[in-house]
Amino acid sequence: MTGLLATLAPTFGKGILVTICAFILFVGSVYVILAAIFGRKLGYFVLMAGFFGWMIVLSALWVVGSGPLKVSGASATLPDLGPRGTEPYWRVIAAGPGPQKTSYSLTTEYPGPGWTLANPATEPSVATLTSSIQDYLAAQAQQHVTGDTQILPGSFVVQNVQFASSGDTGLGAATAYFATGGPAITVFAVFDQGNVPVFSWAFLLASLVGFAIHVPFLDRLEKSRKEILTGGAAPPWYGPA
Amino acid sequence: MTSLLALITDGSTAFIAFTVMMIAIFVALVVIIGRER
Repeated sequence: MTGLLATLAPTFGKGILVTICAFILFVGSVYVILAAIFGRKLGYFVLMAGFFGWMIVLSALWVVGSGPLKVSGASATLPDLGPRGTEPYWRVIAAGPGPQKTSYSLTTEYPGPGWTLANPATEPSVATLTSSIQDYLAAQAQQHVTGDTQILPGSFVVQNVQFASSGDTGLGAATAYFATGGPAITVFAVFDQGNVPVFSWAFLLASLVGFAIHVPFLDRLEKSRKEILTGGAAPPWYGPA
Repeated sequence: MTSLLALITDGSTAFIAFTVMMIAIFVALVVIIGRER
């Protein structure tokens, strides 16, 4: 597991460390000043209410973008500018010689009615489907190779790319073969919409929850602080910060 | 000192080192002010 993480994200640990450091420096320095003015407890709640309030504004912008605010006809801020989830991609669902039986009935009828031949010059989906199929076939072939031979995705030729739709789901199919010789394989893929805004929504919900938790405490503390000004007892002094 | 500086190879390491330095200064100040009191 650690080895896999090191391969997939070699700077993962450093990224976490830098995030912690950023919190210590940028949030911590504000807290030191707030604590010196308001005291430790009220300082914390003022800080957190401000932090989560700011995060609500930021993550709401990530979720919806600027909406009606336009700059020379285009949206000033587009949605999904925050951390991005899974991008839309072609997921290979079946491969073999000729039509295949899958959960989509159309895959048994390829090529035939329901499928339309794509024009690579006008449809950008052809290129993305082609590279998905090449990656899939190269990964499959790599499993059968002994030694350290690398099968490159480019060594597969993808032809006869056709598209179909089953309800709201986009389907893609093509025939592919190994460039230096091999059987023609029919590959079927389904277009996965991905989930790009998932982290923006997660940030927005977490910020709303954090804000809702901190504001009542801030309200209560502020009221008791007002009592000091109107004749109540001062809170104990713990020294600076 | 030179070997410590050699650890800083990129921006993120420099940022981490800077944070550690800031924490060290903060702790030193708290200790000094505490003794003065």
